[in-house]
Formats: sequence, C-alpha cells, structure tokens
Amino acid sequence: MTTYFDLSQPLQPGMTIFPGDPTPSFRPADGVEQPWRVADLRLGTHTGTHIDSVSHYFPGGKNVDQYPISRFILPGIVLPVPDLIEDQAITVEQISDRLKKLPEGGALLIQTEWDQYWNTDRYLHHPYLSPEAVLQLVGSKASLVGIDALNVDSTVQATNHVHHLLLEKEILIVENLTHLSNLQPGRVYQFSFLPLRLAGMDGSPIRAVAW
Amino acid sequence: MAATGERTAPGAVFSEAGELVNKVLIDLSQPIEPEMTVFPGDPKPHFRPADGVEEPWWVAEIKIGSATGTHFDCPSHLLPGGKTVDKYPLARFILPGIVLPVPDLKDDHAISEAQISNGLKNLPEGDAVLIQTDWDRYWKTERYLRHPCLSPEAVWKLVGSKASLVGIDALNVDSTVQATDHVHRVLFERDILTLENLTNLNRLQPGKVYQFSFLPLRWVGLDASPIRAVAW
Repeated sequence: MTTYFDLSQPLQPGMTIFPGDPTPSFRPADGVEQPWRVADLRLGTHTGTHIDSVSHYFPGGKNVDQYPISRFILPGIVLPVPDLIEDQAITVEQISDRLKKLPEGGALLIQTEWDQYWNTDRYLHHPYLSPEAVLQLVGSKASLVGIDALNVDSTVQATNHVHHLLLEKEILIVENLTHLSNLQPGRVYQFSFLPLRLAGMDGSPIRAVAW
Repeated sequence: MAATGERTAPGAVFSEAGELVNKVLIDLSQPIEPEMTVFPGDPKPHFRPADGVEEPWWVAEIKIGSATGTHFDCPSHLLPGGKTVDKYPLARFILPGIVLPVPDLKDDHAISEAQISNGLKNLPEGDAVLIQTDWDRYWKTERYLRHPCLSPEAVWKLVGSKASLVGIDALNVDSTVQATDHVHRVLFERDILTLENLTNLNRLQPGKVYQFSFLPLRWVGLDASPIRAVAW
C-alpha cells in the first residue's frame, strides 16, 4: 500500500490569510432544494495551501490554466533549514548542499517549520529567501519551489524579489505547505500540486500531497 | 516586463516498484469560468480582482458552489449527518479504476444493468468506475441538463461490484430533469463517493486500469469540493 502524506492546511473561516486578501466565507447556498446540501464558497486565489502562476506578479504572464498538468505532478525533495528566527533571510549556504539531490525539473520544498505558527500572529513573521538563495534556486534544476510558510518573500518587509526572480523563469511557487517534517529530507518523493482549472486566474488553492 | 524563462517538469510518476517512470497525464476536468454550466439553483461562479491587493500583485476573489464543475460529492451532500469531504483518507481519492463506456444514449436515458454488467466484470474491489456517456460534448448547452442517468438496477449492480467511487461525464448520476435522488442515496448509504462533470473519458481505453487523482481541497465540514481530475 502506498502511503500518502497530506501537506495541505485546512480551509475554514478564521484561517490565516495574507494581509489584505479576501476573507474566506462558506455558507449554505441559496436556492438549493431539500434534501440536498450545497455550500457557497468565497475565497482568494491564494488562500490556504496554494500555487502561484506567473500572472500573480507579472501582468500578462501565464495563468494557472495555461500550464501542462505535468508541471503539477512531479518528483521532488524536502530541504530542511533548521533554527530559523523571525523574518530571517535564508542564505545560499543553508540550501546549497542538499540542492544537489534535486531531480531534473523537480520540486524543491523548503522546510522552515513555520507551519507550527499557523493561525497565530507569528505566522506572518516567517523566514524567507535571500536574493542570493533565490539565484541559487534559479540556477538549479527546480521547476517549482514550495515553502511551509505564508510567503517565499518577506511579508513584514513586503519584498518581492523572490517572486520576481522565480516567476520570471517560470518557476512556480507553492505556499502554506504543512507537515513537511513527515517526509525524509533529501529523499525523492512524488508530489501532486494540481490547481483547480480556474480559467484566466493567477493562482489556485490546492490539495498538496506526497507519496 | 513579462516572464521570459522556460521550465519544464517531467510529470513523472512512480511505478509500484518505486521506480520513476514517465507517464502521460490526462486532464479529465472541465474549466471553471463564470459562464460555465452549473446545476440549476447552484451558485453561479464569479471571479473578480480582490480589493486591497497592492500593485504589482494580482489576486482574485472567487465565488463558487461546492458542487461546481468537475467535483466530488460526499454523503453529507444528501444525508443529514453524513460524512464531509475532509473525513476521508487520501487513498479514497488517489486510486486505480476503469472507464466504462455506455454508447448510444438518448436524452434522460436510464442506463440499465445490462449496459454496465459486462464492463464491471473483474473490477478489483475498491476501485473507481467512471461511466462514459459522452454527454460532455453538450457542456454549456441546454441539452447538458438532459443527460443520461443510472437506473435503480444499475446502481445496485455498481454497489455489488464493490466500487468505492462512481464517476460520470455528465452533470449528475441521478436524473436532473426528473429530480431523482435514488442514485446518490443508494451510493452514499454505502459510503460510495460520486464524481460528476468529468470530461475527456474517451481519451482513456475502456476497461484498462488507470491510476486516478481526484483530490478534493481540504475544506472543513463541507459536502463537496471542486477538483482537478487527472488520469495516468
């Protein structure tokens, strides 16, 4: 039996969202007849565990429905960066050794353990990638970079260099992952980060899974 | 400044033996867009740029029904107190299964037991059965609402086949024009999940065992979820 690992945060009202993003709300849909139950859902394209496509940052860039699905079901590795403090910039030295294990075109998931602060104010003060670390990733074989935190950029400093450098090279971004600590560092897993087929949208909530 | 780089990913999948093998991935999902077909009375999908998001970022606010587009239904969709979409292990959603074509169907045709019984032979216990009606060709037309449905006898045959999930390339496994609920009811009472609005089933070989991914979003306490349905 294959073991599947859920790397997704639960979606519910009151959950942590990016400051200024739409507040998720779920309510019973009007106009649905008894005995059926249907919910009316409102949320942002970047709510919860989600994927960013290029148009999230570059106007005119590719939308989430313009990629082949092979970009979303792919092998990859988890790269733990231990002992991080609030708003710490992750350096090249902290990631360069383990990057060698990344398969060609694979997903690189940065494990900061910041998911332990989900639904607290400290979740906004997560670590992020320094410009040098991002350039190292751009030079690697990665086709997707994920993180178990709100943002690959710094939220409190409102930087954008990480999204800029990754999305400029069509490297997709997954944020708000969780439970990366359930996976062995450096071991190659299969990942699914399939977005909904949202026509013309810049991102999508996803169910992130490894096996 | 537009993105200039090009990246590809292998779309690779592991074999049973744990080796990485390249496979063709097939998308079985309808696009989600404002003018798409929805079940009569369900919320109409609506997308708009989110307020309060600063330049250069783009974030959209999406409003959709839980049973919009290609989607999963759980027992709570019909049965009070039934299980919700977050109460299942992931192995219920990433699973092997087959496509079962039922050719030459008419509007609101009740699929009989005889039309599916041959195709269900040798189905491994717990697999997914996807009923191919080819009604997805009428997506976004009024005729899409008059799709074929499963007869009570066909549903009992599916229950007897030990399928864990029944999917269809149409709006509903029940009849929409007659507003029946026997198909959902019989399946949900046995904890068999239903999957509707699939497409492209004709790109898969009938009866061949494929691996499917029908992962729902991790909604807490909801009856259904839009999904990205994929086969390989």
